[in-house]
Amino acid sequence: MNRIFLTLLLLLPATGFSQSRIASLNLCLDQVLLQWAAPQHIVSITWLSAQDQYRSAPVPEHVYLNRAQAEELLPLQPDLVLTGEYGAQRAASRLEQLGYRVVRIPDAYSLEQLQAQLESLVDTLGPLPGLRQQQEKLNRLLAESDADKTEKTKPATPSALILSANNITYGSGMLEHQLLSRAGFRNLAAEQGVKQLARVSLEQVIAAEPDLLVFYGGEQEFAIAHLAERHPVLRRYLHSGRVYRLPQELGFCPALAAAEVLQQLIYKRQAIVDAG
Amino acid sequence: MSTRDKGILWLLLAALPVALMLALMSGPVSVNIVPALLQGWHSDSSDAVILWQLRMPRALLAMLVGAALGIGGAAMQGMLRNPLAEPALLGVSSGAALAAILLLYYGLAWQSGWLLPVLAIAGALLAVSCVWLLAGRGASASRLVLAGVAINAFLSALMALALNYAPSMFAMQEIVFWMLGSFANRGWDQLLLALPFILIGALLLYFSRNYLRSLSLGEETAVSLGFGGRRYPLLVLFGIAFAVGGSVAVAGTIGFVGLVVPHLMRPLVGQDPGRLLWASALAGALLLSLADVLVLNVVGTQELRIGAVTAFIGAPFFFWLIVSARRGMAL
Amino acid sequence: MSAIKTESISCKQLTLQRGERVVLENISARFNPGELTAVIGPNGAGKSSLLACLASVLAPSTGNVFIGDCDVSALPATRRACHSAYLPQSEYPAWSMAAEDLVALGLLPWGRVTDRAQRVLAALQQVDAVQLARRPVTELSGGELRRVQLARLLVGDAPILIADEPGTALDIRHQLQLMQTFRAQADAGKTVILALHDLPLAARYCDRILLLQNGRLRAQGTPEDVLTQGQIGDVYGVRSELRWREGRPEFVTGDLL
Repeated sequence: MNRIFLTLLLLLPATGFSQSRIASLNLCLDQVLLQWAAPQHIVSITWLSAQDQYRSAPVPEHVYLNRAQAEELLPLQPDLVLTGEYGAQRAASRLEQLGYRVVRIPDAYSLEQLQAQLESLVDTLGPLPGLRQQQEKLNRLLAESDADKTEKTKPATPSALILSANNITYGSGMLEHQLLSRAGFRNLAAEQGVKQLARVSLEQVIAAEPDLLVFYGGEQEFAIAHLAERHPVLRRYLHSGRVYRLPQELGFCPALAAAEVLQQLIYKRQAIVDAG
Repeated sequence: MSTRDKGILWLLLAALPVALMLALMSGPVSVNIVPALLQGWHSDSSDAVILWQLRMPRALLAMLVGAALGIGGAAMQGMLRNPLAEPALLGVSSGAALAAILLLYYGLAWQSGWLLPVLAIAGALLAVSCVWLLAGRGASASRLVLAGVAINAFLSALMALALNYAPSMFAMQEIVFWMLGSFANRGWDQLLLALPFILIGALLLYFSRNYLRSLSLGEETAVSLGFGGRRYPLLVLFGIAFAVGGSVAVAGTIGFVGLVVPHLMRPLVGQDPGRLLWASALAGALLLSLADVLVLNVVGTQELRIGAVTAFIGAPFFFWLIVSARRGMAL
Repeated sequence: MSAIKTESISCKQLTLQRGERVVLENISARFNPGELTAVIGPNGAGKSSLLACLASVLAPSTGNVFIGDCDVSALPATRRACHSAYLPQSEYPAWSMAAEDLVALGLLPWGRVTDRAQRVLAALQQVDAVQLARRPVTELSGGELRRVQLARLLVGDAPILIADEPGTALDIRHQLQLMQTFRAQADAGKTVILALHDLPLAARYCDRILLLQNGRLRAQGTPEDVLTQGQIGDVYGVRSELRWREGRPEFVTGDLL
């Protein structure tokens, strides 16, 4: 889908928004640009985005990989510099002082913040088709889930538990929890009073008996941190298909993945309810 | 073997089931042990699954690795005729860990099966040969420790380097794991992976017990007693490499077990390097499974690393050994 | 454990090179059961190397060592070890152990031994060290340790006994006791080879003497044949005299030449 929109973009001349030389000082905003902006409009992204473990889209050859130093961006003469709320602030304010247009896009640690972030991106970058579609998809799914809650008095709510790297689980204060509950799952960690992050041993996973076991990233490369997922005791979850793997991007850039994850979790819940 | 020695070995053997029970009772979830045990292997109840699939393999793996490190330490002390010899301290474990890291992070996945312990054993073999060549048998304690520390430091640096460049998000944590070891999230698969190699190692060391005995009188006497040629040192080197490599491949490097255990056993069963092998294996199994029980019962945000626990026990012991060596006491 | 009765040992055209240096050159000698042979010579003459070659601790560069008619390089190491026992010049136990355990190490080539305790006791009796049996070896005096090591040499009842400077660190009384023990072993049919610095002891107790100089065999034969004024003067640069007293040869040294 995204590829179609990118080719469409290449065919169309740049629309109302004038900027044609965009630089980013933030890993997530890099990804947003690579995913949805026209490649010829990107002049620089951070070096991290070219690293294997973060790269979600190919990096065009002409794009300069910066290490968040103002000096690096000056020769590129960007007409728009994107940065997050934290990190690279020194470079951002230097560039501002030098008269460059710097826009701070808010970070997203919850669904509400994510909606605000997407809004801010649309405001800054213009109605890029991919970005608009992502925003609309998320808003539609969230509206549907709100409607579900008011409509049915007692919908079936299967339970779920996140088992991330280093046996970390996600509690009520986290975006991942919101996605689970919006998809119609009970997050067992939140029910046990976990607010943010907590450690969960395999024993606790087995004892909690979640209907859906949610892994988080780490499918490509080997890491001891992900060893728990490979334990034979979880085989019955794998065999019965009661597992879901959150993409790694959700952790550092929910704008890319949240809508798709929510959609898939809703399907997953339906499948579990149907099977049960 | 005197009856007293036999008694101590039986006592150690009898303590192992007790340690196993302690380990089975340790964990964040409270489980009714006896019914869960009786429900057996195939039961689907969560208590039985926790007991049979999670706690049992972990406890047995701790014992297996403890036994391997204990027997490896005793063999190494015997072969180098030096009571300060220890596989982890002298870089043997690091050699195994480095090989495992290269395979896991740059080669195949965890499911690479037999290749993992085999490569770890090769790494251990390389390191133990380096120590052997660099220090020589009967080397003074200071020269041995110097050679070992140098090899260990170099291999640890290579491990850190390899993990730094590994395409992993958790490089720093992975370094900690490999350097301090862990039994967390281990299952029957890892136990069965390590078991044959550790058994082969133990068997090789069993066949070299008389060589180790004869070596306590020096190399010349050992040769005159019929233990000449390269065969016997190679038997010991391979035995140590199999035992230590097999355990490092699944549990990371765990220090000080191989150092402390033979010393704890000497006053009890005497100096005979042959007898010490078995006593150290039993005591190593007991010590490491108790250390893991401690790990499981210490409450914290992060699970305590087993290597940290053994270092807490072992490092002061090591200081004491060096101080007594300085005083010219018999080690 | 079946005792092998008596056995001779011999070397033929034995040469040992260490790097460029020739340590032993073309040495042929035969040592017979019932004989006590001393290998003598100044420091660096190659006494220890010859003994180590005979005990199969060092492999000769060329030449062969035979036990009876059998080339030792063709014998399995443990079988060879049942035929010849060896006590090196310095042998320190790596860690403390009871004296009886050290002695028992001499039985290793024999594998499983049923009457281990009795044999160890008998060996300790032979060297007058029964009272030391349970003492840790690191707490023994030099002389006591040497006796325990001697018991280790004897415990296997090997027909060939090879000892390198066994008397060093012993007082006169224990030196004489030691030589008497070896004498008794030879009289019982063993082939005994000792490297000795003490020429009076060699003259008094030994049947045969091998005189080495710079890795070569200078002379061999009875004490009267070897310890002549001419040869001793030539090799050691010392005046000497071999006298007879109470039916025994007595070797007396004089001034430097």
